[in-house]
Amino acid sequence: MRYIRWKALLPLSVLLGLLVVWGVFFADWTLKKLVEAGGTAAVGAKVELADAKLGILDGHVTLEGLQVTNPNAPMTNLVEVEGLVFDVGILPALEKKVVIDTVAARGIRFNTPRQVSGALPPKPAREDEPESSSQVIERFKSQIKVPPLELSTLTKSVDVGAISADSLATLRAARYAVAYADTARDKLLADLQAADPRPTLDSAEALARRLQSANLRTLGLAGARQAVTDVRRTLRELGQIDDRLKAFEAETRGNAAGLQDKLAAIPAAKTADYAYARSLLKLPSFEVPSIGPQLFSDLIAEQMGGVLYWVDRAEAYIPPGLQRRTQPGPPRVRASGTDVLFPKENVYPRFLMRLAQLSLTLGGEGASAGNYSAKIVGLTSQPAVYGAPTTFAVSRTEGQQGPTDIRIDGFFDHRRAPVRDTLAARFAGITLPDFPLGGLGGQVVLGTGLSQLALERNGEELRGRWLWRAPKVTWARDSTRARPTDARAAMVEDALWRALARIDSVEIDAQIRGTLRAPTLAVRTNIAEAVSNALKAQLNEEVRRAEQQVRARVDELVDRQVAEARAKADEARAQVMARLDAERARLEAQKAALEARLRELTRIPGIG
Amino acid sequence: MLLLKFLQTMFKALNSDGTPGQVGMGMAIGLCFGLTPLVSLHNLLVLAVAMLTTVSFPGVFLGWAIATPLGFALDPLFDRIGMALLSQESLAPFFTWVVNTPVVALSRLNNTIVLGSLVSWLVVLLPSFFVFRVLVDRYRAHVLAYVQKFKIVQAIQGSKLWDLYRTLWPSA
Repeated sequence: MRYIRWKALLPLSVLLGLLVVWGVFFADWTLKKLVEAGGTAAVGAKVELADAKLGILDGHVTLEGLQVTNPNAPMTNLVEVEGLVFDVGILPALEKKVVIDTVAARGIRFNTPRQVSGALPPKPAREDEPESSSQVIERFKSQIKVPPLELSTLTKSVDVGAISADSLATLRAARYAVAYADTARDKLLADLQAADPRPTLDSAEALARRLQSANLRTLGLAGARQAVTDVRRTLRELGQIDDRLKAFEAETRGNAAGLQDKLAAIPAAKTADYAYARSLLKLPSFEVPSIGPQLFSDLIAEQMGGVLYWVDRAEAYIPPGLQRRTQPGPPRVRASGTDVLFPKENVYPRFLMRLAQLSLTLGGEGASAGNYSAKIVGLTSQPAVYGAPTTFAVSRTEGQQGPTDIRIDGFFDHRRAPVRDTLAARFAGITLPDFPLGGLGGQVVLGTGLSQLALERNGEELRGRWLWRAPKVTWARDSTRARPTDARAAMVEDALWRALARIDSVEIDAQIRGTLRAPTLAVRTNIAEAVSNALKAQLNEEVRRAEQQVRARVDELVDRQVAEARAKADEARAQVMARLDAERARLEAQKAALEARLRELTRIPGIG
Repeated sequence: MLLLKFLQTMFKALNSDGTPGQVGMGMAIGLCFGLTPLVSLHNLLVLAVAMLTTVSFPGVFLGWAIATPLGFALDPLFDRIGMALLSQESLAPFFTWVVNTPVVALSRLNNTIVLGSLVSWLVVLLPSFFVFRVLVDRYRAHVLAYVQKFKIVQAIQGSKLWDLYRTLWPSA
């Protein structure tokens, strides 16, 4: 029986030949479809290409007319590129890896209008669906936003009933101190009871009484010797009791110190409760550092949220280290499964763009419109495999108008944990955004000025600063907004606007700190001082009165418990010490009596 | 139409001149196309093996047809098997070699479904061959004469497609 069907060689060769012909003739079409499908999946909106050309032998790839839809505005392209030329490595492609030696791009424009919507049909929500970009940005915004300046509460009567006793930290601290005192006292008394010294003391007392009038004549020589032995043994036992009492005293002192610490924490808890109760009443703070965030955190959170989103994405797309990672498998009719990646040093990463040189154009007539050049070096999805950080720089080459001092540069160093990212951007002479004034019903129109961002991430730690400086601002009060119905509130608002109108130049300095998971925002601005002074002039007395009411209510709720805690602590200590003192007095008395008798007996010759 | 094609394939395989062993091995090999994701590098190799050896080609199609719905149904199981294998520390050097070696990397063996289904097929390859061989043997001994009487079977065997098939694979 023969096992090889040699005649099938021809059809097999034809089949393989057809596959090669398909590859050659349909490579461009396949590439176009791959770019569109991959881009659409990554962006979450349509990515379209006018044309794609793939040179299979030389690895030369040309993409024409790339349009990437903005997922949040489907009638606008996030970016549009006239032409992109890549030199792609052929050998890495055989390892299913994309290694781009060089990229040159021309005609990159942002926010261009689209003819038709680039939105994708809505997909049914999945439980394990990752957060969308807008959800991530919203999460960051909610973390760093603070409530706006609230003037309306000032004119309302203060409702101290809103302060609940159960939520006050002082009560918890006081209860804890009482429980600690009770437990410590009970334990010490129980230990004392267990190690009861009274039988030994009684026995010592009996011995001392028996030897009180004894002498050599009444005891005899042997009796005297026996008495000395008994006295010495009893004195040793008393010494042991003495040691135990000292240990109890030391323990009591330790417990007293612990209790003192618990009591000492009460004033701090009370201060925290004052602040908590005050926050419930939404009284505005006049402190300068707290005014900046209240006025501007809305817009700054919006802008900073966008930046933090990209920092977050950089971590997700450029993970550090050589650990094994998983990613969803390719889409197919059957289940996609999971791709497990096995990174290794000194091989090609799954994606690498060694050098990209791009020319970008920002359209419009604004001060930022013009031509820019960008350079990206070593962009990779596996930096530990590639072994070098990614650096990027963007600078303006030609402006439509205004100064040309626009620069962005930075790097991602994700070769190993902790990851390090830096970003520095400077935009001088551009039109700055209008900042709404939180709670005041209007905005400050910054006009032309400087915007400067510096952000650094080192592992989880985040440090950033965004500075806006505008030499000539205008103040725009929202005329459509309803005026406060309360005359007092309206007067306060008017006073604030009068104070603001006197300010010509504005500097807003936003500082971000903390971690990427829990960022915090601080805003310093020269406006804050003017607002603080105006508020103090108008409302200081009212706020002080309201604060007094709040403090009185907190005191009323906690003082009794605190006094009880202190009394309990004193009582517990006194009880233990009284018991210890009594035992010690008896011990000392018996010890002294026995020692006196011992001295007398040991003076007898032949005994001692 | 699909059902008709399936029946046609089935009858061709079972009634062809190939030995039960050839049909059984053809069916066992054909399982690979149904159990594992079709567009995979290993399927090109399996196809070459099926074409270059004297296994029954209709048997391959029959095995494919039988395994296709099974493949969809068993995907969750393949996913678990694949993940279990890919998570084995002792196999990590092998998979690291797979994903970093030209051409071999195109096999997608680091995908849980591809690996799980391929390994499952390799495990059932020989047992399924023996089972299919016995079934074909028994079918031909006990059922073939009875089935040949059905008009539909005669219609299928008398179709132009059948003639074309016999022209291309006269030994089948």
